[in-house]
Amino acid sequence: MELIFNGILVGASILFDPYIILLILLGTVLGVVIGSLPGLTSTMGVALLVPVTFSMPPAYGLSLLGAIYCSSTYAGAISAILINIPGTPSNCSTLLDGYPMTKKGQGSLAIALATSASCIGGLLSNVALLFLAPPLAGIALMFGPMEYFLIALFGVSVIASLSEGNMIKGFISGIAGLFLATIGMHPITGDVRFTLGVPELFSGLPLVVALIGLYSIPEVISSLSDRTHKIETQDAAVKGLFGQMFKVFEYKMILLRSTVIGIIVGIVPGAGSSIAGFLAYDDAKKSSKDPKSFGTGNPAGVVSSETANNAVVGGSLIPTLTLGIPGNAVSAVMLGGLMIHGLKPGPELFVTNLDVTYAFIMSMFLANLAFVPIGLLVAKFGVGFIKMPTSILGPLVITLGVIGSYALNTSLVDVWIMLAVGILGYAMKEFNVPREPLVLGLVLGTMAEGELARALSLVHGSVSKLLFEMFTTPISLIIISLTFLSIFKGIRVQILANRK
Amino acid sequence: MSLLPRKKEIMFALMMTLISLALLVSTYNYSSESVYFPRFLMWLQIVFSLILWIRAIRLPSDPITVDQTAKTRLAIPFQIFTAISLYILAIEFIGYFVATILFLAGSMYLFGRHRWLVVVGVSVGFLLTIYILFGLLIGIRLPEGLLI
Repeated sequence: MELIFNGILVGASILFDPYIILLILLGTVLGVVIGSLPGLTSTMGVALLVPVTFSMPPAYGLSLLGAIYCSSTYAGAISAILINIPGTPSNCSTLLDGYPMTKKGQGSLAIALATSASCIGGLLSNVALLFLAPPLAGIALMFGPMEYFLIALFGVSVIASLSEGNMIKGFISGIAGLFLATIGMHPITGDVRFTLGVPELFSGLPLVVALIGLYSIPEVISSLSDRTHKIETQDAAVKGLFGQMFKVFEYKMILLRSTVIGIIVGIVPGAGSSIAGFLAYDDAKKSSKDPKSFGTGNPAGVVSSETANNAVVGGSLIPTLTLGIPGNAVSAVMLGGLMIHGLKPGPELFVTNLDVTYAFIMSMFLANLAFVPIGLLVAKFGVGFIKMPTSILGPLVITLGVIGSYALNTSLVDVWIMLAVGILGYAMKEFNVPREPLVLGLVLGTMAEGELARALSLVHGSVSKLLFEMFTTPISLIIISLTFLSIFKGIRVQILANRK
Repeated sequence: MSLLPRKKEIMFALMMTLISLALLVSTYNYSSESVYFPRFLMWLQIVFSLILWIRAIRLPSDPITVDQTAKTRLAIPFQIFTAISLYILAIEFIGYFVATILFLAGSMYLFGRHRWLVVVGVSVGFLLTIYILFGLLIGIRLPEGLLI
């Protein structure tokens, strides 16, 4: 504990340099821009700036990268809420209630809540990173292929909750998503499947491109088809947005639970921040007194998703810094940044490189606070943007979707994929099939198939042995129990809703 | 989410069953070790689709109405999909900037009949913003064609 407090003091002293403050602010601005633009991901933003940090002292370079990471994770909520396109995959669950809030004229409230929830989730996960990194890192080592497969299964159980009112169609959508995730190379055998000869699909269906197509095109069609469609907007002065931020404290329990979910998901390597958002959303919905209001513009849906996905940031850095095992794709790039500066992840980082490590962690606190005013300013511009007539806004959204899809791999094939998924999304909307389970299936499919194959290969293909291990390993038992509980709760909510 | 009219539900259920069957058959083009999971998923999909179909045929019959709006209802989606396809083709052949201006101007005029000044102003302004953000700030090379 003494070492930690020494580290905090040393780290904080480095932050008094105006140059590092400027870098944190620059990183925050870049992160907000990158995160709010569909097609640009946090991973891309951090990767682009890693070479820029070569010439900087390690603490300074890492602070810049950390600021981009936190702010881009949050900023994706802005486009998710205002134009129904998640800026980054981690904001998928935010649009479930965020965009409906915008349609009801509560867009600025949604943005304000997303901002404050992200800030709180990020700050609390940084506290966990600061004080609990070594003991929490041990959790990352307990997860093997079987546990990862069960996490994917647990994630799939959330589908029941996302498809209230029509569970069968929800499962059809979820299974479609899981199937789409199998496009490309098999994780073990390397066989290329269902690519129709398109080389760009060998590595799978790009998730970001699919999200853009699935949500942007059907909404543009809806808005252009309905000539009376107009998004109600309120005047959103920055002052007004700032005042609304404090309403987040009406959701204290959701903030706490979503933070814990985000930290745990972040610690588990490879789980991904989009899963955290969905799990937190599902938890908030099931513990709500009014679960039916979720999906129609319930602020709790926005608060839970955004808290969790920003809590993943600190959580993912725990195994990254302590064990050298990245929690997700962004922290993998950050690990590269660490090594470029000659820093070796592990316990030594917190002793020998105490100044750099703690300066970096302390800078994340500053970044989480800095994205609040910057994000609100960008959002104020965004609220003004959506006041345009739909005949102007619609084509602009399509253009943004096209360039966003292209930007990922600088490939026009991705744009065609976006259009194809857009047609699928429109058909799903026409037939009243929920799209969220498909997204969840896409997110979890690769992990589910890959880890199941690995788990089976460890038991030489014996299903009975695999089942025996599943029910005798403590971590697996906990995850299985949570899965059954989740399914049971989902079915119970459905039955109660049908009775009414 | 409410149930759709009976015919639409049956159509959807049958469509899903056929698509799932087709995809299940396609899995036999690959080595079995690589397709256990997708094959299992398609069997599951067929089961769910059949359950949906059984539920749909038990729905009350639709009232006899003449759907005069179907053609009109599908006109706008068809126009949008066609416009986007032409836009992507145009990007490939004539370049991103010219294609984008043509797409924006064309679709704004098609759906809104706005004044030309507004259309050109918004198109050029938006394109400039995209160029600054994606081209200059992020450093993405925008697609080039015969023009720009």
